[in-house]
Amino acid sequence: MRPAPLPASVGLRPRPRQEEGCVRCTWPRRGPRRARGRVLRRPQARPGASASPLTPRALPAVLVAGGIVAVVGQFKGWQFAAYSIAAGVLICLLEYPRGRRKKGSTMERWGQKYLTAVVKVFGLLTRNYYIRAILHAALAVPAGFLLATILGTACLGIASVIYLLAAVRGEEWQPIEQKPQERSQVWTTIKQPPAAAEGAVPAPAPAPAPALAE
Amino acid sequence: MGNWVVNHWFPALVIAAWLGINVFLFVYYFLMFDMDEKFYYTREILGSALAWARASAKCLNFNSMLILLPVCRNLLSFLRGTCSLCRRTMRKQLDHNLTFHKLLAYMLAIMTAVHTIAHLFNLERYNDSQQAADGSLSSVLSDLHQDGSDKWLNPIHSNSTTPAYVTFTSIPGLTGVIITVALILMITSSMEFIRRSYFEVFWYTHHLFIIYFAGLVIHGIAGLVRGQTEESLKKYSPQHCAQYLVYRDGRSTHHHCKEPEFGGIPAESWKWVLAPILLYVFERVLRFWRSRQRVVITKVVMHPSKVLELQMHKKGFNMEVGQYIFINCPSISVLEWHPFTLTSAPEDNFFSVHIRAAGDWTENIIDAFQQQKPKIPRIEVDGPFGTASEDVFQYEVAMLIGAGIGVTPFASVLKSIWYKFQQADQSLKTKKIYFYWLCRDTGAFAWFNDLLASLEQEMEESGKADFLNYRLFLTGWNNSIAGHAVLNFDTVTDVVTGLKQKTSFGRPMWNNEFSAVATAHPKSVVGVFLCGPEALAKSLQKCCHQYSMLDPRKVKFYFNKENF
Repeated sequence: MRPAPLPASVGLRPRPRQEEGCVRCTWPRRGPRRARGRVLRRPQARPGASASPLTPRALPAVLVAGGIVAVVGQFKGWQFAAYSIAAGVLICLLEYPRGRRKKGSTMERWGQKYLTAVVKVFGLLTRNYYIRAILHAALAVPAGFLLATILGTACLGIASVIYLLAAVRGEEWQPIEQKPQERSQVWTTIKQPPAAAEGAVPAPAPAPAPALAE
Repeated sequence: MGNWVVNHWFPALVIAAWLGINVFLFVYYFLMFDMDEKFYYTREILGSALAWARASAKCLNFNSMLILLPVCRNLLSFLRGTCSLCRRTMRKQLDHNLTFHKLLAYMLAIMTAVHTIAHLFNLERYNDSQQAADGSLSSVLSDLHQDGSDKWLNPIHSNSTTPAYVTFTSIPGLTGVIITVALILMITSSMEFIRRSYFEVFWYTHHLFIIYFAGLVIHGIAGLVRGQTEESLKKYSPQHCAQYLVYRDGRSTHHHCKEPEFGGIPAESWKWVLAPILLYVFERVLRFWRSRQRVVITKVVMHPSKVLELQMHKKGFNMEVGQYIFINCPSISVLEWHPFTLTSAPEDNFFSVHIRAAGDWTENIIDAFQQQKPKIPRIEVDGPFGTASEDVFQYEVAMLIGAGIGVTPFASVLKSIWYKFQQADQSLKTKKIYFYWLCRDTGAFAWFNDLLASLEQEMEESGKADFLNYRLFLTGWNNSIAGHAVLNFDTVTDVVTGLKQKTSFGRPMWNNEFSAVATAHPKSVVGVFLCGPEALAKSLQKCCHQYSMLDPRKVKFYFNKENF
């Protein structure tokens, strides 16, 4: 028997699945931040969450900004400032690709995949968080000699501590790789009536159309 | 455009006023420090960096004063309650307190950057002029009054120091660095990504504001920003006397100019921030006191898909439709408070929330209530907060659209409307409700399902089955669900929900819905209420315009934005 047609008001547009852990899944974005029966803000770090987002790009940016001020103002010891700009930019680039979470999926930053390819090349040097912690600490030290970049030193020091704590917890940086999305071709298959299964009763012949009254 | 103005004039006005005050403060104090005679000698050494630093400092004081106010939620509730005579659109802006708080924080960040950069230049220039021995005016000024009196201009008294050393050995320098680091940490840990995934990090780091305010108050105590004292200015005005300072030879004796004397500007941050700090302390004390009030849990219900319903009772608790409360469970975490929308109606003799497992705290609380060892955990409640959504009752016909998790406030609304209808409440003008529920899957909302089912049953029993017309749209359907539904097209109840109303699949076609409502109620005013994503709001607004008739006697759709 042919199934009855679906009601006309159904919009049969297939909708791509939203990523789990997508931060856009809670509304309203602009309204008061309260839960609609569930917590909007997840309280503690979920298992498998990575520390990489905890070291925001703002921290090396402070270093770069301080360096720029000292270079532009030609302060005494501006060479340290020039170094700070270079070090800050390097760290910004290193930090930009967000690491993949162990569980669930992670949102990529815009244009991240190019830098991901570069960062991946260095293998263990960029993957391991102990090495990242040492790198941050080491890069921070020369900037401590100039007042303009001392804030940058403090910020990099904090980032270094965050990486150290993450490394102790056994985290490391994993690149986010795009998986090819399978688009389910729903609307093509639904047009075909179900094929008769083995042993099923064959469909009865359609009833003759009622005779039109003359 | 006109529509935007009507909906947003009040917040636009508030923001314009705030920006205006900031601009005024900045420009006024910039000009004062850049042109006032009192700071003539200071400017000799520092240039215009002095004015930049002082102007940004004033803005910092102003914004630091304001930033504590939007987070005093009890104070805001009080204002909301006392200003019941004010128009509701104005009171609704109190719901945007956190947006304003963030705006203030951004301004603080910008002004801190300006202030810090200006002072970096100031310190460098002070140091340079102290070390210069070229007899220029700035180096002469730097050497004045280095004998232990308090009349000096240049705070750096040594020839062989660095700005970094001076910073860390002076009160303003040290406090400045500390509060800037605190501010950077607070702002970076408040990014949305961190708030959503590592809430505890955000919450505990944000308490660095205590250090920020303490440092801010102490920051100006040393009076390192110097200007010429009143007396000295009267007798030895810089216009006349500046030139003689440079020529230190015998020619300088025939004029009456003596060395200028300087004094520091007194600390004034405390004058700006004292009142808000006291208000905030009072707010925290009030929150603590309210949380000590006993909350009696009258019923605990475990719904499928790990949803916990708590029905509670608290003395003196009065809620309205669409409000929310903060809940704390000391046995799980002493300091964490989490907001939940109330799902009960004001007419109920209890208040309830539905807690869904979505993170560590919620999972812990659900476990605690499931096991109840040794007994039911104690709960503390603060609230209710939020503007009530009374508008829903004012429309003859109401279209309520709840998308996904946005359906929760509608539980409260629907229950309240039903109670009012039963009691023939005069304040209820609603005669017909169209409720649209859009979600990907009903798993976590099975409890809402039950609510609709019980409402359905009650309406049938009272013979008012057509009061509520609801449609459920499952947007996360797949082949098997659709096939299943198609095969069971003729059954009385829906296979997915068990309700009489059939589930539809995919997104609703709003044109059809609106034209059906317009046809059924050709002369009514229809209120459209949405709790869902912005994109949906836009398309609903368009439909409202499209299907409203110009003739005032005919059907009109009013879209109520952000009511929840």
